[in-house]
Amino acid sequence: MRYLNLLAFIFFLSTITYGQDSYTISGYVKDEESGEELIGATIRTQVEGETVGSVTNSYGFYSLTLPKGKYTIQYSYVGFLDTSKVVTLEQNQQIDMELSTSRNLQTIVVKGEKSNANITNTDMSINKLNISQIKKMPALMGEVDIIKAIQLLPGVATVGEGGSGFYVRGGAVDQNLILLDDANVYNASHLLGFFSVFNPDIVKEVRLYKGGIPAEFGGRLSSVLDIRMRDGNMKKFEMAGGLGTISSRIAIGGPIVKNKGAVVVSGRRTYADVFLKLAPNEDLRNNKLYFYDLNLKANYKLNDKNRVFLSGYLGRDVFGVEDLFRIDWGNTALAARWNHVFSDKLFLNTTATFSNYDYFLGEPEGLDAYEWTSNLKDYYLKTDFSYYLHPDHTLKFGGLASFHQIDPGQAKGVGESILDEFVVPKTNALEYAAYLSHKIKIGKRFSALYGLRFSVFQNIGATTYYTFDDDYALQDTFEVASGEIYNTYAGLEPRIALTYILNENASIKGSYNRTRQYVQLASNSTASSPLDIWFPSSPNVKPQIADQVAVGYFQNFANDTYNASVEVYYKNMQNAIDFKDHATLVLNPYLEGELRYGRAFAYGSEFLVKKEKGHFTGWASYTLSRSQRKIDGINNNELYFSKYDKTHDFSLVLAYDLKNSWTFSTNFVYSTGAAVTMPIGKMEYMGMTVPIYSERNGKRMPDYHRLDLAVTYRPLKNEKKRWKSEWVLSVYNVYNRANPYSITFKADQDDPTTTKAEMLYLFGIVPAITYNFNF
Amino acid sequence: MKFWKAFVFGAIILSGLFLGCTKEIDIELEEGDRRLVIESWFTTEEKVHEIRLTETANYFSNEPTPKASGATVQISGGGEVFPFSEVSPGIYHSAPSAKASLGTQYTLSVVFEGELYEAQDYCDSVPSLNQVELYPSYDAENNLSGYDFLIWTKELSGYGHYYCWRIKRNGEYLTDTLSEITIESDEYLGDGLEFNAFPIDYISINEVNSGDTLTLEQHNISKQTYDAFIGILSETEWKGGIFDTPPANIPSNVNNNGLGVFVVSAMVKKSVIVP
Repeated sequence: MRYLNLLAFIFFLSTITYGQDSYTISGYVKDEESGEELIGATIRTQVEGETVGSVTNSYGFYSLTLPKGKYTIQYSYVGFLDTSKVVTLEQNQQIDMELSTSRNLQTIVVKGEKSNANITNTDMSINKLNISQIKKMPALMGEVDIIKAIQLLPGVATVGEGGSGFYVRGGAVDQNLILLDDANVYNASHLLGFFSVFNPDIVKEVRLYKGGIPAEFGGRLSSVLDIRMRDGNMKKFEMAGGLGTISSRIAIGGPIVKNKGAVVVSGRRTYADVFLKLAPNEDLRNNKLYFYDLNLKANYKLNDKNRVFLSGYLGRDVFGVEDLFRIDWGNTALAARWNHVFSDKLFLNTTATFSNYDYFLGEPEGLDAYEWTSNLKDYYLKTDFSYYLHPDHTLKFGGLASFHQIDPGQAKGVGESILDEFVVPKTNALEYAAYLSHKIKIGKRFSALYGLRFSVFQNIGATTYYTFDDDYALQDTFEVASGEIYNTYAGLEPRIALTYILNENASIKGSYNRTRQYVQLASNSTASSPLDIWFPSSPNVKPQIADQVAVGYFQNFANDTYNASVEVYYKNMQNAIDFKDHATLVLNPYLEGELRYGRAFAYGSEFLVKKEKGHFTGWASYTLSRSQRKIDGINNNELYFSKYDKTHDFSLVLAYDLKNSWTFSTNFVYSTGAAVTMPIGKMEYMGMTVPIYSERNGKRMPDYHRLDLAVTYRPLKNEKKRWKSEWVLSVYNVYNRANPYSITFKADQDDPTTTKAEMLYLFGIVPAITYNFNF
Repeated sequence: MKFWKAFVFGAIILSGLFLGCTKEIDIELEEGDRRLVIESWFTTEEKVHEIRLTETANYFSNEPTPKASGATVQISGGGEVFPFSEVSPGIYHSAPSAKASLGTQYTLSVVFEGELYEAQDYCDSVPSLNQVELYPSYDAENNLSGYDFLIWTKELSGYGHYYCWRIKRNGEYLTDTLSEITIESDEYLGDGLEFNAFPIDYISINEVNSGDTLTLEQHNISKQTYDAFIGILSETEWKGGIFDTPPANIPSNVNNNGLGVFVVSAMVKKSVIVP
């Protein structure tokens, strides 16, 4: 029945057309230099004095339906020159437009129309970052890092120094849907979270949805981080790379068939272990410590209507102490996509993805030798339609089916070991979703994007599951046969975003979204541990549900040079999860007995001023927020602050291009110290001095602040050569601030009656130099 | 515990590789109410058992916590009552004949400043210790650095058993500190595991002399004791790395807002002479 209603609705909408003959212009917008499609480029024209337009989708495709007539169509994209084309529209037309950056174009610059898409579109609570923008920012140890860049956006908080975890509008670290070319990335961190897994050389665009999440995304409560990989150069062979302080990277790519297909492969590896060989301490020399990433992207245009893409990621961290101990972990993500243009108005993308995260831990020798492994596998099939009915009506609809396979951990003795086998039962789950959304423009001032997502989650055997009594003690054990569905959850997720344009420089926007989450991370520490496992909803664990409302005011200044916005939000999360005191989260078959449930909520306001045009670019952001939770069985059932609650959070990101050869950039960050628990007393027990705590997270660490600087130099003699290079000198934490990562209260080893507070800080001033090249 | 320890070990090494530094800082703390802390370990060994009663103190008081003197203390169970008398401030001793019996539930009662505090624990059985041996261990220069304490025993069948091992040198506990006691759970070891020449503990050469008698005690402790011990270690010894979990109070089996743990254990022991 629901399905029929949906069809009727689509049919109804499809009758909306201009009351006269109308035709469709469709095609792709590309970068002239590489032939790569541009995501989010705007296409605009005037119809009877009113601006109408369209935006390219994630594959660079656009479609615009207009009455018969003569138009000047304007194509624009940040960092590229606006280009216009005069079109006499008497039939459907395909126009593929290539845009060029100002650096390469010496011809007449078309005076652009207003670039105020940020005012007129329905996007709110969304931040888009261009990779070139991210590359300009000073980076820790010279490693350009996407996640560290988004941590500087309003509404995004971090805990601890240098971690790759991020917390969006009071949501936990596992409430971010991280997609690399549509494939889920379950653990985005290398080296315990100091670096993220995304190699900047192969990333095209990064988009973070903090609210107003469109109906096509689901599965996580708080945000979507949509990372798109480059498609590869369609026109010529190219190579880019860099030699850094801790890692080197290289990307090679080019056309498979000119203008039809391209491939790009990139790799990155750290070499900390090379330095270990030079260590004065002999014990250190035979240790292993490195990570690597490999990315592959290929695409091929079968014809004008069909195009296929293949994306792959493989990354691994390896750490070993001689023959005594080894741990390694990594992600694999694969995505195969097929774009099909049914007609000028209907675009289809079908994606099949596979993700895997696994770790290995082991001691190879001795009586307690063991091997311990865990993995998580995910298979997705999704299909998304975009239907460009009319400049005022765009429909998106689609569905997905996925299968999750979780092996939370198994350990066994090896060799002469006396240790037994220890297995935590595997679990499997199915997840389905279907959605429909409609973008509508009513009159000159009002537009809306509303949609509905319906998601279903099912636990499926074979597995063993447990039930727990009211005291969380084990009650019963159930064996489930293979293929048997033993638990189902389903629910609706309405999404809506509204925009009211006050004038061409200002608008008011509002949004509401409900999101549901069926898998979550068992993690209790600030740093990202490779051993953190994901666990699904189950008969014991209800799905988490979040409702968020946000209202914002958007204003552009100085002919759209400065974009400013203020947003306020309130987010309520049901079935929030926390862990009981001293919980055991690894290798614990009764993990669900360690969980405690309640409610979490967050509210705040975010201020952002951004400048994307010109030699001087950057942004300033300020967030005033609060994030609290109330969980049964924790903190005496009283309200407490989330560890990522930050009252004030300020970031300043600036870059200045001096002619073509120098770029100067700086980041400054200031935020309220993280919420921590501190003792109100001590007790002595068997020679130990043990702290006694009162309220959880009731105290604050000292405030966090830090200044980073970077200088990029591109030798001018480069200009005419194909081989271009640059030197980047970056300094992290310029004034060497000791920002506390944690504060530990401990007793003196020799005299346990003497106690002290000791703070751990990870990075003092860290200079780094990187050499980058492209060919 | 074994796997978990390996992880903690790995994590410490991993985090040590970063430029992590520590620095002492001044922090002002609030002060909570004074509460009674009970430290009592009642075993199946016939001996003078000791109970220490203290009170909590301000975290930065930088002196020993106050002794709880003048309390009335007794342990009862299985139809028997073992009274304790105060021998020095906060230290209470039983008669030399006091001992726990297997399969018995015991209750500790303390009346202090007009308040009654009670705690309970159960005395389960303990597997026999078939053999113990000291196995010499050498450093890189081939000098004797210490001994592995090897044991031969078989873990009780069924899951849910918790053990600890303590070492006495010439009748005195080599260390009386919780952090130096070996604690294990059969959850990770495996059910009914046989220990044959398993190195359960290590003694440095600096701690013993040739001719000393070393006694290894094998205790079966209850889950509540195990959880409390792990809690104490989590808040003290194991604190201070980047994988720290949220601080939390130690579980206690003492009622009436008291703290500490009343431990009852079944114990067997075997001795060896240091060569």
